[in-house]
Amino acid sequence: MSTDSPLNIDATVVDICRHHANAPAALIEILHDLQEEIGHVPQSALPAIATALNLSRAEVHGVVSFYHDFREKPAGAVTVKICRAEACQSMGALSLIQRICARHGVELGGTSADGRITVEAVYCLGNCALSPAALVNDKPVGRIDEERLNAAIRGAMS
Amino acid sequence: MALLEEPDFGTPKRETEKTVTVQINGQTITVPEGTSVMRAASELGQDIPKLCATDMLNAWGSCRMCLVEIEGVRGTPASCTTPVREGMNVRTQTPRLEKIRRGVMELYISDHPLDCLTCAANGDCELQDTAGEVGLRDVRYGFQGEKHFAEAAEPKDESNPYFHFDSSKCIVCSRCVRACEEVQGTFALTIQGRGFDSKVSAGAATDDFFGSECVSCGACVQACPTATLMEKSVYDHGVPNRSVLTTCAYCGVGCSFKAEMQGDQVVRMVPYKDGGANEGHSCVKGRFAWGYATHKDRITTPMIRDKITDPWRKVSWDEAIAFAADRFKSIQQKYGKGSIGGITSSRCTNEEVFVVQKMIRAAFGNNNVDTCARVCHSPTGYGLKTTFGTSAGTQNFKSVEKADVILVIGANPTDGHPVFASRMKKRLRAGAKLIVADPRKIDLVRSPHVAANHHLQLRPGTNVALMNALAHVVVTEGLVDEEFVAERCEEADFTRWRAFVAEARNAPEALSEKIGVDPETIREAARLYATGKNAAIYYGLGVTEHSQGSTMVMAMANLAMATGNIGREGVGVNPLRGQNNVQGSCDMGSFPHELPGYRHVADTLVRGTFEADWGVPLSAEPGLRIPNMFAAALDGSFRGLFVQGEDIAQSDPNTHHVTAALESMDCIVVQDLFLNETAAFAQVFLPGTSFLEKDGTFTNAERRINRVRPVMKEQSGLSEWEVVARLARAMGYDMHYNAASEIMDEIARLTPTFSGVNFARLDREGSLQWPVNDKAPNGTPTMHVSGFVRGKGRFMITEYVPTEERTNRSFPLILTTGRILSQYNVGAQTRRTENSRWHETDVLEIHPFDAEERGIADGDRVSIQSRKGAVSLPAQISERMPQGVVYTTFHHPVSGANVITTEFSDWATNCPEYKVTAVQIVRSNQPSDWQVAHEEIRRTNYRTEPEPAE
Amino acid sequence: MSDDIKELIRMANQIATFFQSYPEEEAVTGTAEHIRDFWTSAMRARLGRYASDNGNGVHPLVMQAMGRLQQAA
Repeated sequence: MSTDSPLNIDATVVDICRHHANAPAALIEILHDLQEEIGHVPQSALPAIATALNLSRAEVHGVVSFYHDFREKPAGAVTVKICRAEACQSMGALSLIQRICARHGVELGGTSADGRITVEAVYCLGNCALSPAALVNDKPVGRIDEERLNAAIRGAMS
Repeated sequence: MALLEEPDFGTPKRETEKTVTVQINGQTITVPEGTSVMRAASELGQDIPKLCATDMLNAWGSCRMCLVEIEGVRGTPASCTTPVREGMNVRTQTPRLEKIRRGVMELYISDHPLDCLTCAANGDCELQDTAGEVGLRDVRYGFQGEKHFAEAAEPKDESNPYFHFDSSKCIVCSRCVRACEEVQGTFALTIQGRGFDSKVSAGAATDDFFGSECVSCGACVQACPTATLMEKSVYDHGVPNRSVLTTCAYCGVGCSFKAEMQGDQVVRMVPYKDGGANEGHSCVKGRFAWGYATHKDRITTPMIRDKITDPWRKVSWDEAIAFAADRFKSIQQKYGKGSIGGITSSRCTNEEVFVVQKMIRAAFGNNNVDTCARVCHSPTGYGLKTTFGTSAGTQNFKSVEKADVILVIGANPTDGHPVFASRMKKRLRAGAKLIVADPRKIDLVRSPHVAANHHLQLRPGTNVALMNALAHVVVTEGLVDEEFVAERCEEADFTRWRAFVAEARNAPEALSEKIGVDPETIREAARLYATGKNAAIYYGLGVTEHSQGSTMVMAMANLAMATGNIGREGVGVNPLRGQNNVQGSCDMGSFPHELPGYRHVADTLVRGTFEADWGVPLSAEPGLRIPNMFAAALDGSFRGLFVQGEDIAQSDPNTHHVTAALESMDCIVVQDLFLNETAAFAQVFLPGTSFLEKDGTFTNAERRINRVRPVMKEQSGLSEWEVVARLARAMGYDMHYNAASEIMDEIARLTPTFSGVNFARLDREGSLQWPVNDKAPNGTPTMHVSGFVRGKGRFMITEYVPTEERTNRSFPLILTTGRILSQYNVGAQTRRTENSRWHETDVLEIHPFDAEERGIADGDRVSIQSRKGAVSLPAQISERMPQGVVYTTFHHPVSGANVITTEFSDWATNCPEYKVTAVQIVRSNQPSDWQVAHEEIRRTNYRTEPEPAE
Repeated sequence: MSDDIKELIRMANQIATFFQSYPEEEAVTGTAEHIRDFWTSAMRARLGRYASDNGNGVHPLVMQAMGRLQQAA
């Protein structure tokens, strides 16, 4: 992972945008690539993206802020995405989310103070048959309860 | 007039010949194809409730208020996004629609503060109006919506000096965001987040309005249906209750505004949708920067003094006028008739300018009248008259909507002519191609959603070489519109011109090094211009303010004729005029060789009509131009000058020369709003009127004559034309008018191109584009349609002649000058408004390499030295500049940009060569000698006698 | 040479430089007409005097043009 000093970010942005031929239509792919590259899409990267694509800062900000998937700050070492769409909710996802958050001292959508874990809500993973469902570092886990999910988290941390 | 509320048809007008007939609520209407159901209903006088729709913007379909029922169509489509179809049968009001609308309104109001009585938009709120229309009586969800409470807890964004942003009142209709995109073309706003978290954001999360890309044009404020975006002046004073339609007094675009008033206080200026020049749009100057009109620096009492070092003495109008007339008369007795003269102002109305030139010709008895257009667009007049036959641009602004290729030369429209730039950018976003010829990377070269296909980054002073190279490609690659040329142009002149530009020395390859642009780029640009269907040239002072300014204007006219790009919509040669009434002041006979309507003073027949009307013999000899006046002042033959609303001491080149000339004169009379730089050398100060006090007309860059109407009484008690008439009478010539309209009647009587113009007609029809006469009773939006004014178009040979101003080892860089959006000209008005927050000081833009070579860091104070003088300014390191060229603006008197400019000028008109000065730049931490001396003059020459104690 | 006459010579020479692209007869006429139409009689007289006195530094087309203007006067 690159360090995120503004200069490095600008250079990374320029590279990524060039890779996409500085095409405004490629904005979302560019944002994904940037998040892949440095782990998040910081506000400080927006001017460079806007300049490269000849868009306004506002336009880039509008797109970035629309998609919850783009995070402004780096995520924790483990990212947990818990589904709270209809099927999972009916199988107790909401209270599960509460308990997991409390257990790790983290707010939904945030990262724990020690930087070890980020917990986020998602809306349907297409895994309704195995509700409640989650992703731990992009690995699907199904039919979760607090312990099962926690085991997956511990596994990912080790 | 009561408050003028313009109808809002909800969606824009469609421009097509094809029509569709529909039934709405049982009534039949025929509208252009593509018109929305909403607009058709509105045109029938049956408005449909709406929130996110407004006719300045394309339909959006998000608010769900404008639903209708259409026979044979399922559901309730949104009327704004549904185009009419032949035979459609629409109902806009049914129990079902009522219920849906009321339900939607309940949701809006459940999350909107209910502080209507204390809200700044009370009485001017579309949400309030619509809630009333749909009969909202109850909100089943309560009024405790989280969003507005959360956002009300945040501070309002007050960063913009003219309006505030209060997110808690926002209904997220996106009208502001769309206005910024569609109308202004800046894209400074967005909706951040999604769902309930959606919120309007200026720039990115870290920006506020002032820090964002926002250019403060006011389009978002105008579009906002609530108090979310609201003028601070409305917040402070309340909603206005009457309107006066008038015309902005800043640039040559000439936007129409509604001055919205309470009593004689302006509450806000709102762009007028029916204004032909601006169609409802505005910029930060016209919309907001009018506070100077009541600034404390305004001088409202006449003042006189014996010597320029004496303090000013306030006197009555009679005393001031008698003093000025006596001095002028005694100068003439001693030194002859030709020893006095005057300068008219392009900031004043046609009527005011007309009476000044009349006073000079009839009361002074000579033709020593010139105008500030001398120093900006005089080459336009000469060049276009020589080639086409008339001293004016060929198109209206709307024409740009039909252009396929736009060539911008020596103009920076987004800063200098922002409202027209927005129209141009709209066309560019729709796919027109763009060629920019400018030494500086102006915004049009690349800014969100606009990018020039070619940026010809030429060296200052090589315009004519570039045009010849472009013409060479057109002629040698078979791109001439032979049919047009054969039919419309003088054959012999064309043949000669064709041979001239075809010479190898005019090839891009031969000229490329001089121009500083790669030959292949020049070739591609020429091909694009010649073959891209409708090609239009727009140009500014980067064309005219050169030693070959007039040659360049003719070179552009040649290129347009050769490619057949004249005489229809979408094409033409279009000067972007600097000041509001440059066109008008020239039309009104402000030049020393021409009577009103561009007719030479030596023309006995024409002169005879003026002599008969004015009852005096007139001189048949051309008078002095401004630079000639200065030269004659220095040799002692020219000793008295009447200066109407122009600050020659600041705006004219080579300040040392100008001030020496002014100091050597016996009587200078300044008619102005403020004690400007020229007033330091004046013996008489006659207070002028701001545009808010004037009754008259301005003529903009598209020859459009617009009415200027007073919204308040003259602060000085007299209109400017009345002051001039009194001075003329004191000089012994009986000049008398009862009203400004009588002056226009006289103009129309004496000037064939204006014969159909009068105030009553302008009041009825809004505006007229001259010529307005028997041949063109409704005016002339596009010129030279079926033939050139001079008969056949005349190609002129335009040999490139380098300027005498050369760089060398002592002065290795070229200084060129320009403007910035927030300030205007010498800044007398805009510096006295909050606009200065965007541009507090002039800066010197310099390329990083040139800066590094001189050890200059961004923000360092530097001394700019030319052969004429030196000034010091802060440096701004800028990639906009090419290496070897530096740039500054001239909005602040202390910058003294003209201390360094030279006396070189256009060969035909003596328009100064502001755009090329050889300079050296060095670091320096102190003001220049001139700047120190200037401070001293400000201390000594601006004193006013203390008021006697009561 | 005074600054004033230097200035007039420069202005006149600039005018001639534009018209010299044309055949001589047209160039002289163009130069003469331009000076006649745009200059004051005092300026014309001053340059005319200088041209007939010695004419140093004056463009040949201007010399001819001034001669023609003096004839017409």
